[in-house]
Amino acid sequence: MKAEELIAKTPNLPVPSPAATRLLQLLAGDDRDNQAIINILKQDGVLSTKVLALCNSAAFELAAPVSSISQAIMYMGYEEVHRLVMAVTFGGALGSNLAGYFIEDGALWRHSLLTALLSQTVVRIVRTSQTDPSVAYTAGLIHDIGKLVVSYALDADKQELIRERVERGGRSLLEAEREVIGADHAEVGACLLRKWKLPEVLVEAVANHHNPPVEPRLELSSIVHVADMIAHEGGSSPGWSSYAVRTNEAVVEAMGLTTDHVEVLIISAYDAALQVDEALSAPV
Amino acid sequence: MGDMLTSNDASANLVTYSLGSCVGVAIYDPIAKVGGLLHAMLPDSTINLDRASKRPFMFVDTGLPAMFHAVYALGGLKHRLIVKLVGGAEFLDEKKIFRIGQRNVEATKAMLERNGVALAASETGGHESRTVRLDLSNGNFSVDIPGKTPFLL
Repeated sequence: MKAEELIAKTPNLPVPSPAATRLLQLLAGDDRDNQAIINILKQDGVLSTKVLALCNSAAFELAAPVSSISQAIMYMGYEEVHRLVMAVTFGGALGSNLAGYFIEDGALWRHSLLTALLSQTVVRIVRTSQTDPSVAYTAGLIHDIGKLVVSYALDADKQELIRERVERGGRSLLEAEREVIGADHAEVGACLLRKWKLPEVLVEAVANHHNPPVEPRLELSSIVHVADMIAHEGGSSPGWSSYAVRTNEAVVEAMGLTTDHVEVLIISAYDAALQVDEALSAPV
Repeated sequence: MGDMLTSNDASANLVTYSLGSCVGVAIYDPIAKVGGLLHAMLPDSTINLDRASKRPFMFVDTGLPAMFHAVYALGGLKHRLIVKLVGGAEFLDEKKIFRIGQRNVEATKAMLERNGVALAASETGGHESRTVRLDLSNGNFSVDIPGKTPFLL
């Protein structure tokens, strides 16, 4: 089956609100000023309320409560507001139980948050990269969004077919998905993002996060690829056969990463996991 | 993760989740009914000695001796300890840049051997992320893999 058909059959997908979509589109441009963000947020009651609530929560330790979005953005900063909007938009769906992969409640959301933080870390380590931290964060956060669709398509029989290919056929999970349902979660995720009219830089990162191109140049997908692998090695590897994935070693070499870098990144993953777990357990 | 548990409470279970390329090492003294469970992420602490002094359990080379000593302090005796090893999953890779799992397993086995400690059982490698549980009442060490029936090692 094609990606579009699989998507059409899946209920409860986290379609971004018009305001969230416009904030995501801002990631691709260089006109990301606070006024534009304020104008967008003001048109979305749910997001405005959540931004104000977070800004007025204990986390920001303000002397007096703020009541306007423009004040909130001043105190929180763009990156924090963007992270909140992403969490409101995708957190629920990515945190659900994905039976097709044997992923328990909350496990994919934790993996997504960890990959988002690690994508920013990888950008810092690969010094030649010009990637904006918020773009890297967002790509890392939604890299597995196609799993929502693929999981729904994987009934018990298809799970068994995938298992057979992975355990006895030496296939990666991604290859097995393509063989059994005709599309893989990376391709389906990219298709979802295009449908939602999100920027091409995110579509590329999601589409290629398991097999990023080296030529003509490294793209954002290379950053997300490494961050995803490190998240797996750093203690967030949700679902069954979650190590049945391939590193694109040409990409890792082109990025100049060595085993020492990988070990340093795994230590970063430990720190990022503490940060994620603290945020997930904080009262809202 | 990057941590260690010990107990001398025979009604306790020591659990660590989603080992992946990390290794889980369980030690149990069936007479004293004390045990420990290490969840180490990396083979060698020389990559970050400062971190190793603060978080010895992140590394096999610093975490293993620290766990053994913690269990001795609870009354465990070296010659009675039953030692089991789980984890060290690997990606489907040809080269070695990401081969952390295999190196974790090798470092653990080498250190145990150098110290004259026999390994009673192990379940390592593969592509699965494993959750393990040590039951201190009887030393049962169970391995849980998503989508499969848990089993005793």
